[in-house]
This record gives sequence, C-alpha cells and structure tokens, in this order.
Amino acid sequence: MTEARGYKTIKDELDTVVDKIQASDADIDESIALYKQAKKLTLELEDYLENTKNEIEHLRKNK
Amino acid sequence: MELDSPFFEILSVTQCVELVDAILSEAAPVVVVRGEVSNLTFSKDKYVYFNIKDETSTLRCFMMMYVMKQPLEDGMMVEIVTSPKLTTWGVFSLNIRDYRLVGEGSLQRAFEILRSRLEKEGLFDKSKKRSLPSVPTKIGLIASVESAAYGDFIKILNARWGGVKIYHIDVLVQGQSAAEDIVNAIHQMNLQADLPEVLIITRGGGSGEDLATFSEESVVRAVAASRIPTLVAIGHERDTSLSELAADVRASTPSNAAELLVPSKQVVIKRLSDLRQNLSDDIDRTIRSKMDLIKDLSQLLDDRLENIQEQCFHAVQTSKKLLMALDPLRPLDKGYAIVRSNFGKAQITSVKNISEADKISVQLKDGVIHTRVTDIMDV
Repeated sequence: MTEARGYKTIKDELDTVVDKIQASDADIDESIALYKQAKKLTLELEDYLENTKNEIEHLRKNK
Repeated sequence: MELDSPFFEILSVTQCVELVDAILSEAAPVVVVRGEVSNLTFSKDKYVYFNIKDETSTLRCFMMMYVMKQPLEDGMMVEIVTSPKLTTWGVFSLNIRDYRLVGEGSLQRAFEILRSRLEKEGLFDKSKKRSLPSVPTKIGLIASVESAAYGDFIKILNARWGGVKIYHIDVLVQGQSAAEDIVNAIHQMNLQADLPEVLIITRGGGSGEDLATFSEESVVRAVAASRIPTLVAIGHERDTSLSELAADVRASTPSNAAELLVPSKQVVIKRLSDLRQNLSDDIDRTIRSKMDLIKDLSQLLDDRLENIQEQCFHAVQTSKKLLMALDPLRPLDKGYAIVRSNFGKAQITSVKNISEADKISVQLKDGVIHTRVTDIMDV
C-alpha cells in the first residue's frame, strides 16, 4: 500500500520538473513529457489543497 | 565544796557532750527556726555551712548538699527544719533536714539565681523548643484533680474539640512533697507504652510561695528532659515559673493551655467551609481561564491554517502560471511547427539532417501534416 504523498513532496517534485523544463538542453519531446508531468503534478496539488480545505471546514464545523 | 558532793557524777568530755545531746534530742528533737542566712559556704560540693541569725542571736547550721533544693544566698530569709546538736568538738550546730525560703524577696532572688544557672546550661534554649501537634488525639495531664485549673482545662478542651484521650496523674501542686510528686508524674508519663502526644502540666494562680514548686530545680529539669513535648501553664498571665521557661510551649493560664492545644471545632468548620468555597471559586476561575486560552489558541490555529493554505494555493497558482509560459507547444499558436522525420519519429531541427524524398511530418497547432521533402534550401 502506497503512502499518500504530502503537499511538500508533490510541490518539490513539481519544482524539480519545472526546473528541468527551464533547462535549455531539453529537446521538444522531452519538454512535452516534462510539461505533461508538471501539469499532472499541478492537478494533484490542487486536489490535495481542495481536500485539505474541506477537512479544515469539517473540523471547524465540528468544534 | 561542790566537787565533793555525792550528787554530782564526774563525766568525761565525751560523756558531757552525749548528755547535752541526749537532753537536746529529748527536749527538742525537731525544731523549725526562722532567720536570715549569713556566711554561706560550700565544702567539697557535699556540705553546706551557714549561720542563721536574727537581731540578737546567731546559730551555726550544717546541711548536706542534696537537701538544698532551692538556691541559698546571704541575706535570704529561711525557715529551717532542724535537729539541734552539740558536736564532739563542742560546737552547737543545727543539722538541717529541710528548709524553705520565706518572703517574696528571697523567693525572687532564688528564682533569679536558678534561672541564670539553668539558662547557662541551655535548658531554656529557644532552638530546642518543639512544636505541638496541631490536633492531638491523646494527651498527658499533670494537675491536681481538685483544682480549678484541672476543671477549667478539661471544660475548655471538651468545649473546643472533644474526643481527646486524656491520661491524668493527680499530683500535689504545692507543699513539701509537691515537687517530688510532679517529677514522678513526669517520669511516669514518659514511661507509658502508649506515649501521649503532649504533656500538660498546670495549676491555677496563687502566691509566689504557692507557685514556687514549679520553679524548683528538680521539676524544671524533669520538664526539660521530657521526651514528650511539654505545655506548661502555671498561675496567671503575670506569673512565670522556671518550668514554663523550660517547657516547649508556655500558656498563660490553664484555659489558655486548652486553647493552644486544640482549635475550636466551630472555627475549623467555618475555615474548612471558606476553604472549600475558595477552592471551588479557584477551580471555576482556572477552568474559565483555560477555556478562553483554548478558544484563543483555536482561533490562532484556524488563522494559521488559513494562512498556510492561502500560501500553498498561491504557490501552486504561481507554478501554474510559470508552466503556462513554459508550454513547449505554445509557439505553435504563433505559426511555428515541429518537423519530424519518418512521419513523426525524430525531431528535425536542421536541413542537414534531411534529404529530398524523405518522409516527414509537420505538427501545427491544430494537426499534423504527413508529406515528402521535394526541395532543400539553405537560408
């Protein structure tokens, strides 16, 4: 069973991918693959933050 | 001549002394003489010599040191219990069996002498004083059962607290044998298997002579040596006996002794009730204060969480914007194309990597064209 990844892990991975995209030595195919990976990570982050927001709201309501 | 008279017997000196002694012991075996002490001397820590005198006469006195219960000094008035005796060396002497000081002046002076001596020995040291238990359950009481002091003490003790177990020893509190009686009672109390927690020695008011027993050396030493903490109350507030100075705690009167010994039950109940109320108030205050603190902390936590969440959202949005700018296919929107050989295999970035008739694909923003190279030109 894989452990759920936290915000920092995903964000660090995104930053690494973005850094690679920005590197001038990447060719177009590699850049496209990295870009797709970055987009996926962005979505994962947004989902994560949305879940977190819901959890916080739930906690506030049940105080 | 009278020497020739048949009525006279010729005696030796010794026989003469023995005759006079016999007459004396027959006529006055024991007499009590009052007079003033003078020329007091001590010998070998065993014998005491002094004269007793009035305005016109003086008599020589002898006493063993152990008979001396109270300090003596020249000028003191005394009453001596004595057997008159003519010694073998022809001196008329009073052999003292017992004595007592007479008059407030003598008593006071004896008191001061003994006080000074015992003080030097450390019998009154404040550092040696023990405290009494707050509420004793069993006490020792040395008092005359017929005295008002005894009645007052018991009455006040029971009125204030009650239920205290009392070991009582009835003693004489004045007179010749009072000191011995009290000393024996103190020893007896200290030998009890179930030792009292406090030893109370008390008597009511009286004259200086009445109270003098409680300043006798043997009594004072017994009080000081008691292994049970002592509470002594002799006479009234103004009276101070040496036993009181040697006691762990002194009370001004027998009633005061009972007051010092146990608290008033009513006062304790009131104090406990107040304490309970104060405790309850304190707990309420503490709970309210903690709840406020938790509320504040909770709000702080909410704010902090919100802040972190906003920062995270902001960071993701920034990454998204950057990613948009880095989209490798974005130039296609402006008319650029990606050319690949063999209908989409490897990307071609130079005419040097392609030949005429090669199959190529051209990717535009909305689709891919497959074609063949017909002409190559350098630019």
